[in-house]
Amino acid sequence: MRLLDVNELVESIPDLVDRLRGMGYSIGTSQAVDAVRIIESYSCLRGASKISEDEAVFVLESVLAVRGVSRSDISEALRHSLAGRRVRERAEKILEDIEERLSLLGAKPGLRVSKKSLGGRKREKKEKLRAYLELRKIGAIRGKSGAERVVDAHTLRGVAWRLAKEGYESLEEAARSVKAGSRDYMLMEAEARLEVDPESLSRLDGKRLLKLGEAASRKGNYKLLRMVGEEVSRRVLAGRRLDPHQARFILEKAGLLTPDHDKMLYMTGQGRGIDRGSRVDVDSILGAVDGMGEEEAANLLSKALKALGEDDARKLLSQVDPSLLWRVRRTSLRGREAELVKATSYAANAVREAMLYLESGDPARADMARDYINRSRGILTRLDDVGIGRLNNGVAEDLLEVASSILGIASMDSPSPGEVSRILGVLGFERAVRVLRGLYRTGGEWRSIAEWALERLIYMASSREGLRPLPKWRLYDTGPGRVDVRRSVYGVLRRSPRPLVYRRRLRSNLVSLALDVSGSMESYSIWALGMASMFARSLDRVVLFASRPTVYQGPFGRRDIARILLSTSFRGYTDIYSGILEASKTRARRVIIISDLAQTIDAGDPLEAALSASRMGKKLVFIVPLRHDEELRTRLEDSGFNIAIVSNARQAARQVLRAFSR
Amino acid sequence: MEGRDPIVEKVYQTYLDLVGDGKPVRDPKEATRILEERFKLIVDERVVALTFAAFMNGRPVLFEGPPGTGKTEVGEAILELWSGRKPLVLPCSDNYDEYKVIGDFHPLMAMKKGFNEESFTPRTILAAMILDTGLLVDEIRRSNEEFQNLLLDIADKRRVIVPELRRVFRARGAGFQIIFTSNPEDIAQNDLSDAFLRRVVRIKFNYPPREVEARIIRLRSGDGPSLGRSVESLILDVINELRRTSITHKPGTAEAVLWARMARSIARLKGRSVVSPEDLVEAALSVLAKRVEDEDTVLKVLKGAAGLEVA
Repeated sequence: MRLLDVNELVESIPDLVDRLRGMGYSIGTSQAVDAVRIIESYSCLRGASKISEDEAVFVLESVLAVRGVSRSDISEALRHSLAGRRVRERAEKILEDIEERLSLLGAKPGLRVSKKSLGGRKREKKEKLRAYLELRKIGAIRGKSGAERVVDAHTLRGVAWRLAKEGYESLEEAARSVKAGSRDYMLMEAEARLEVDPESLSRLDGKRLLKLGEAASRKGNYKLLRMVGEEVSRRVLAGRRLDPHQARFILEKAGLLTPDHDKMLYMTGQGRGIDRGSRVDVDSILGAVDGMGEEEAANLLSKALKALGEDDARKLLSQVDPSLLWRVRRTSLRGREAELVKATSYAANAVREAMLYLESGDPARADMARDYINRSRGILTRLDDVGIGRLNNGVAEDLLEVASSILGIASMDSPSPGEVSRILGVLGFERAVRVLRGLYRTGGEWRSIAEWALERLIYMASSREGLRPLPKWRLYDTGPGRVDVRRSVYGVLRRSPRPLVYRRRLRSNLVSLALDVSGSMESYSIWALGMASMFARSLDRVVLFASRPTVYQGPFGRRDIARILLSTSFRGYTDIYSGILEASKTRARRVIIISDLAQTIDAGDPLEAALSASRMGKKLVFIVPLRHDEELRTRLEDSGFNIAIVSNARQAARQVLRAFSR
Repeated sequence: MEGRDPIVEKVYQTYLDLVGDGKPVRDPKEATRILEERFKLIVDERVVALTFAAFMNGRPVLFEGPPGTGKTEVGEAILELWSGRKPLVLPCSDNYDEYKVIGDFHPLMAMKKGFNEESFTPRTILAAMILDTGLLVDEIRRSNEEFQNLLLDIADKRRVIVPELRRVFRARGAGFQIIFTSNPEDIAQNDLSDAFLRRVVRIKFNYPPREVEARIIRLRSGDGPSLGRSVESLILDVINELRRTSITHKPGTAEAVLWARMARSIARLKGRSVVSPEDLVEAALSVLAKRVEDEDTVLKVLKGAAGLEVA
């Protein structure tokens, strides 16, 4: 039990009485005087300078508890009063510390003090600098560099009280905390080669962290630089946005830069920090383009090609998807190569405009597409065969053909599904799905053609990406299962020790799928649903959630899934909460949720929905892209949910397939 | 000089034998020990210390709690230890006024000789003040507000004014202290004013914990046939169970002690050396059921506690 010093207790009585009055009790001054006297007499009679908290409440209750004042209220008020007293003690200690530092600096309240005048021998200088920084950090010294001034005595007391109320025991402790300090302090601390608490780095915002890293590098404080570098590395790999230029500089200086960092910096920065002459790693750009959306990737490529030297530009152009070059205007290439890039860029623009025409039905888009086709053709006719790796006249011609085909498809009277899927096959899965959605929306016979073509495209995409459905059978050398006669006969003939081979039918899990169909999650959901359609029979429920959830209940065929994919529009806010709730109303045990976890509708806490689903016995699997709401992700992880972070849409599809088979 | 004062003379003649003379004990630890050994009272040392602390600051003390928790006895004993003399007890009544507690004039004498010291008869409070001994005002809630205010004035100023005699009597030493007792749950009584409560140090009394109560029973139930652990435990079970029921008069420690004493006496009368549960049952109704309507509850609890049946 806590023992209270009687003097401390007596001194806290006025505050205690005030608090009780604040609680609505009427307590007279004479009672407060009685309380003081009786506590003193009581402790004197007990022969102790300290009494237990329980005893103190017992005595106070006898004097103060006149009418309705409960023991618990007295106890609570006493605790608060004693805490108030402790704050006063702390404030006095901090004030003492401040005065001590001021005398070290030879400074006085209200007068000027300059960092430049902090002379002395090496050790003394360091101590003075530390004192100066501490005072500056807590706000006891204010003003611009060179015109700093110690605040007046009254404000100084205020500073000490504020720090004491925040729970700091001493000036040193307060100054060490990041919360009370400014960015300048951290920088100066780095410059003065003083210790920085590693924990505090994780609480710094991105800008401060990078500035601190730069200062550490400038002053040769390698220990701090390494510490900052590790924090920057962690944030970059987690997909947090940092200034790419500065982050790369710090990582490089700290010896921590890897291609993964580069890739992530390109992805999160969307090309920011790529300037002419800056070092750009082609492989990292290619990796980043792979994980980005179409628009963002086109932006990044345009910036990278502008900054890259001839050789690197060639390397990049030879490996990149030419349809993403629609933003490229200028490269370091000269002559015919530059002409080829220009022609390809026009061709890519033509494809893009043609697709936009399909989606929107806006005739101006068709005109633009035709214009780009003509411009590209004009350049290509002047060019002989030019090649930059895979990129050559033929590729540009192909793109033009696709653009013309799309325009043709849009104006077709009697379309053929085979023709449509062949044309769209070259566009890549996501873009093809977008085109088909445009066709599907026009209605009539286009609907069945789009469905048919989509089924075919899904098959093509899955085999191209190696995303095959599960085998129906698996072989075992022990039972149970059916004996595979052919393999067993071979086994006997080869005299293998276990000649019998058994086949067991594999069954995929019944799954409920919840997909985020807000704008940012389009490619992830297209891939996930596309690949899930291969397991249509194992899908019990599909929930597409944006501003509100749309529920499709199985059993499904492949055509049903194709229809869902074609009829969904990817836009709006996100209500994960309702999405999870709806998806968990299923007989399937496994619920897969694909979302960036950004709840943008004030419906409810998604964690609550997840927990409630979990209580219903559902096993939830979250698949989230690199850029997601970290706070919700952390809470979900802390609650024990399984979260897979994927860097691109194809990985998301792979995770979905894995969930079916696990 | 005081010896010649006729009023002091009268007080000494009337009350001195009652209060006796002894040595004050003002150390709480020592007082607690004496309370247990001499008075057979088990009192928390904190209560003694707080009461003494209040006395040291000239504050009267109010013991509040349910009946049978030893307020009066403890109050008397503490006052005796504090002043070294037995305290005077003033059991309150609704029609008390200053004449009944401070002093009054004999009507015939007053008619014959006037309102002077000769016709004045000192009463309890004045006597306690003059003798410098404690005053126990029992069941203060039964008194009226005027009387409470009168007591407050006396306790506060430590003096008594008798206007008819044109005299002021002042307390001479620290021995004159007041303890009030009160049972807030009691029916048919008055409330205490805020002003009164502000001027007193209030100490709450409650039923003691089981092991303390067992000690009290052992200490106070007298000599004779042995109680035995099982009988003692039975007493405590029944008493505690009755406190939980809606019985009108909830038994206090005093009832528990009385019950044990009665059972011992019955066993002695029957010539037994050990108290049996039957002895307890015989004494039970008369001690525990203070009202006819409570009898059923007492019987039920007795039966439930140890299957004790009352014939």
